[in-house]
Amino acid sequence: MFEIFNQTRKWQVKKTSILYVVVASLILTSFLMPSGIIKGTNAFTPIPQTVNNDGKIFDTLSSDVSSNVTNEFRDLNSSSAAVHDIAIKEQVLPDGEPAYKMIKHIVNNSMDVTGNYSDLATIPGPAIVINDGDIVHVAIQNLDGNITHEDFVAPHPGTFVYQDDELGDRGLYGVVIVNPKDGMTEALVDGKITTIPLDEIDKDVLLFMVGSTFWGMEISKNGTQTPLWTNPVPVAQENQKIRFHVMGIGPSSNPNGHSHTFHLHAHRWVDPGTSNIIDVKELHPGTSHVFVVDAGDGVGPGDWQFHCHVFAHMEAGMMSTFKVLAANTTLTENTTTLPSIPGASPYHNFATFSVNDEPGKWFKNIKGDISNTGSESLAIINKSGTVNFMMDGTNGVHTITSIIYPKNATHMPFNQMLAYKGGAIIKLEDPGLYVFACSLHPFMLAAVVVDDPNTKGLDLGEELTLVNGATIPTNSEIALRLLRTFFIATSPSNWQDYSNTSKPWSVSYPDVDARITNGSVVNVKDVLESTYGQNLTLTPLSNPITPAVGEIWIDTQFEKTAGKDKPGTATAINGTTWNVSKKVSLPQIDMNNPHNMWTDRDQDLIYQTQWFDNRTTIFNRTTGELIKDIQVGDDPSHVMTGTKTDDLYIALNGEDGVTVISSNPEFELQKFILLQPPASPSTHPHGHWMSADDKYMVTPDEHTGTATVYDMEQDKIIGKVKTGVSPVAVGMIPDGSKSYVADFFDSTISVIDTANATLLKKINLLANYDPISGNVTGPVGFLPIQTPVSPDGQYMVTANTGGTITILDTDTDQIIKDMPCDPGCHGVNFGAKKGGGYYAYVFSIFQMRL
Amino acid sequence: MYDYKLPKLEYVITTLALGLIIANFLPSYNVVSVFAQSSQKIEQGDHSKSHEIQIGVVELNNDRIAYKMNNYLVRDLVDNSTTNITSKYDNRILIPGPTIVANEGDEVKITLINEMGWGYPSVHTHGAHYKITSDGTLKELNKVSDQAASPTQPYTFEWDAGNGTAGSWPFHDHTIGKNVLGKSMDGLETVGLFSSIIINPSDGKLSALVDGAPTQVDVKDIDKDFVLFVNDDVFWGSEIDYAKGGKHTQLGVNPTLTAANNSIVRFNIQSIGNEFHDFTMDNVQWLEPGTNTVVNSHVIGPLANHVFTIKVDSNATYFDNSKINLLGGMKGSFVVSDGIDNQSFFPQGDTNSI
Repeated sequence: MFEIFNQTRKWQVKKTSILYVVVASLILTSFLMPSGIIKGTNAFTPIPQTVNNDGKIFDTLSSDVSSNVTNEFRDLNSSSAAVHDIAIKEQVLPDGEPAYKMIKHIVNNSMDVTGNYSDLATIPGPAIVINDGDIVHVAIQNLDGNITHEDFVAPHPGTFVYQDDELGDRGLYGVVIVNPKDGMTEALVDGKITTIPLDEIDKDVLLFMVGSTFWGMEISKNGTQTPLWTNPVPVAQENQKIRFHVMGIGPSSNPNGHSHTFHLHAHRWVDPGTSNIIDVKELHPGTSHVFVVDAGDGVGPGDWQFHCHVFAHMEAGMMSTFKVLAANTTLTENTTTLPSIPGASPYHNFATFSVNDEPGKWFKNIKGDISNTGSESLAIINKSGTVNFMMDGTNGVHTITSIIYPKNATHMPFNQMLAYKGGAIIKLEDPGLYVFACSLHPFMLAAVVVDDPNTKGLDLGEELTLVNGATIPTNSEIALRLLRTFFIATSPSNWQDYSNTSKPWSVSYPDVDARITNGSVVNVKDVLESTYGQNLTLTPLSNPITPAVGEIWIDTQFEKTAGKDKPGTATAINGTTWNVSKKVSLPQIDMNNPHNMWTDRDQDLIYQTQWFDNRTTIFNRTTGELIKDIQVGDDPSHVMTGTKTDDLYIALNGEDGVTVISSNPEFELQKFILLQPPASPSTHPHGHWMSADDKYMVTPDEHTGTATVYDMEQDKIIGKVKTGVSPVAVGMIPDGSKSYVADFFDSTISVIDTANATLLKKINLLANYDPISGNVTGPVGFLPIQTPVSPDGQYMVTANTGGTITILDTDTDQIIKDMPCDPGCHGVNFGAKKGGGYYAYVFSIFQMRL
Repeated sequence: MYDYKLPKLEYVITTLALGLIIANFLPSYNVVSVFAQSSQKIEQGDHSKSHEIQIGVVELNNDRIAYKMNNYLVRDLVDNSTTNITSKYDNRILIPGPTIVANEGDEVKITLINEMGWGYPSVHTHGAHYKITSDGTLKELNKVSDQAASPTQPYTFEWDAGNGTAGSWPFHDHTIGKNVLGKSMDGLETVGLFSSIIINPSDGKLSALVDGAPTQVDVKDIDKDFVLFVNDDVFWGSEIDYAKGGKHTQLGVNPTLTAANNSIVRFNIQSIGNEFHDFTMDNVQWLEPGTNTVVNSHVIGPLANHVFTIKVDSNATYFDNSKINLLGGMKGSFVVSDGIDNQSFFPQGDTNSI
């Protein structure tokens, strides 16, 4: 039997702990209320979800147009209730995004108002403007040509989001604006709440908060709709009355929702339904917020910023300005209002990436594979083009981080202070190669070539700056190596296939000319093939002669199985026969990217993190049966148990600490260890390690470039050690005295004196590598990841993404050997060998080879 | 025009039940009127004031940055008399920054002094009126000027608490994207540069929940203002005690809030950072701002505010209703004292070790 975690489970804080301070202070005595008992706690902040997954688009309005509602809507048959016949069509825009286009809008079988709408398919879709009580019949022509029909009645005045269930985060959304019959609306004018006629509204501005981008549209006084696209600049004159409709779109696909806060500088408005004056409003998915501002009231003209106030969204570009001109601005021609200024549009020099949990396609250009390499993570735009990212296919939190960009490029580097749910939008001005990654999941890659059409070949740029600050020429070996890594990582068809080693391994590269250092033009495929070879023979797999003890468990994170959407299985190998003996995929919980595991004291259970999600799962090691699925926090990466308590310590890669779950059989969340003081920059720890005596825990803090040494006995942080860029995993000498941290982007190992939290040494794994020529004169480790120390304390083994295994002698802290591995070499751990000694098991995530 | 809903029946029942419980718990001596002490509460005279403030920006430990009150002069705009109220502020814990209390009709001038020797911090306020030159943003955005304090050049921001600006508003740094002097730190607003301005309405009236019923109270009746910033992992608190002449006390992280029984207190809930939180109190209810709806929780997102005034009648716990954040300690106590000597609990730890 298994028990799915119950969200409504009661959770109690001990009364004594809450009141401790109070009692100790001797101020309170006689009338303590039995307070401090907190009931009905949610695992996460509940985000209201408005849009239903019912297959309908107009599901925020009443769909009941049948006769039995006529009593409720008494005006139905009277002349004041209009009937609208509407046809809209889904269409794919040049960047690959779907959008709605208005085909026809006829009112009362007679008045054709189709001319009010844009003649393009637009994001957002057409705003259907009707009156309270009106009846609407809509025909929707889907992308596949099928036509569906929906009917609705405007239930009451307001602005209602319509949204496709499947593609509604990406472009298939819009609003129905239902105006009140009395033609009046609330407004804050001269600082006072008042009611004004709708015909005093100078324009309607629609802003949809999507990912980390505003998508806009305006409706002029005469009803004409103009798409304003991304992060537009609405324009008004001082004291004009502008009705803003701000909508939260999402992504709503995230299981815990995804909300925004809208803020417009220097303006205030009435929170509808209240007399509260506000200037920030929470927008949950599928909700709208409508208000009228008196442009520039009390503040005068200016370029007034509006933005999402979720800080990471702001950093990711979710902002623009509201341009308020002086009241006496001369208007050209016969216009009564000034047109707003549209932002970048998907019709011109625009690329869109969907961020998702799919192996290899983590950043998916929604136009698909444009290079004929199997990689869907490449986009090509011209200079001053726009790239938009949308986290609509992932349950995790991420960053959009520029890890490679042309030296001195405008708006670079691009990064956020912490991982989040949302998206990003960025204008790339200068030609050259840009690579974006998630800083928590650094194999998630998107490459954008920004081309100057006036030069021959695709521009990769003269020199590139890397995330750690290093600058390299594009004709260097390291640049080529990175390019090759990109085409392997992002194209599963380029991964080595050991299930059939008789077939040679070939990597598809783009057959395209590129312009590199000194303006020389080379064919990318020719250069990569001549440097790294092609059709390489894969060494057939073979088994070790000496058996292992017990089972070897591996997170086959990218393995896809039937019956679930998300990738990943846990695989067991029988250490005697060396055969795969078990596969656990847990379709009932849609196990998502299982990344790291541990076992209980009795080795009955497996504790499994879901790195692209917020859950850690417990299953029976023998039967694979699910025991519990626990929401622990964003992006749980690694898990270990305390040797004394058998409690689970789970590093939350998407948060700022390590959460502790009590041991078998309770498995209750019991503690959260914050690895930073409040308001300090976010740590985002990944692969922690704990000493065998339960004295020390060392976390690699990916975002702050530190390792935190935590005293488990005294529950306090001993200190923080500055490591290289992006520390991902920690290894430790069995007695806990010395810790090793793999610094991913710097390709270094930081050696730490654990007890004193001081840096002893930094080992450069690229010391024997010439990044320009590619000459190798000794062991090399490119982009190191897991780095455990053997149980006898003698050796540390490091898996390097670049395709090598580094072995270090812990007595001298010198590298003594390197061994070949596959690209995507990632996980390492030790297991007992029959008859004594240990094996180190090294796993390559792309090829699923151990 | 405003649709004041009646309290839902369930709330009424809860309130009644609570009242009964409280009545049973209260010793008889507890029925003490605190209104007798109200001689030094919020001043709301006929004269508008100019608030002439000097705020420093200082670096704390652990990469945190804070606003620090250097000097605060209140000038009467009619008779030009001045009062220096700097000593009412508390510099022990600098997050959140100093709260400014003004009346609708007042002016505020803040001169920001960068005492860090690096960086380019600013002040951007919510709620108040200001010209584009006091936006606290950079020229690439506002098209006018870089409005921030360099290590050598202070910047003065001028705000006007004009009509319709009454409320409790956050102010914070807004120079995102500018890394100067080689120190790469964006987003100073997320590492401590945030505070509040409370603008009291010119009519002197506030909605409050008193003895379970929506009631108008006078601004002058407020005994304490609590400022609670909901941050990603903690609450940061400060208070202004009008029974002590408007003394500001910094309360630190997840503080215990204290108030005299039957006193009138205002909770100024602010939010900053990245996360949404379900701010909840057990045993205490309040009016959803601008309505007569009685609530005891509110989902709040970054930089939204949630302000309510209540008559104090029971101990409570305030918390973020999220299991993960509660485990991290995101909760605190609200403790009702006997009304004779209400005082704050100073949080454990000193200024910079928080």
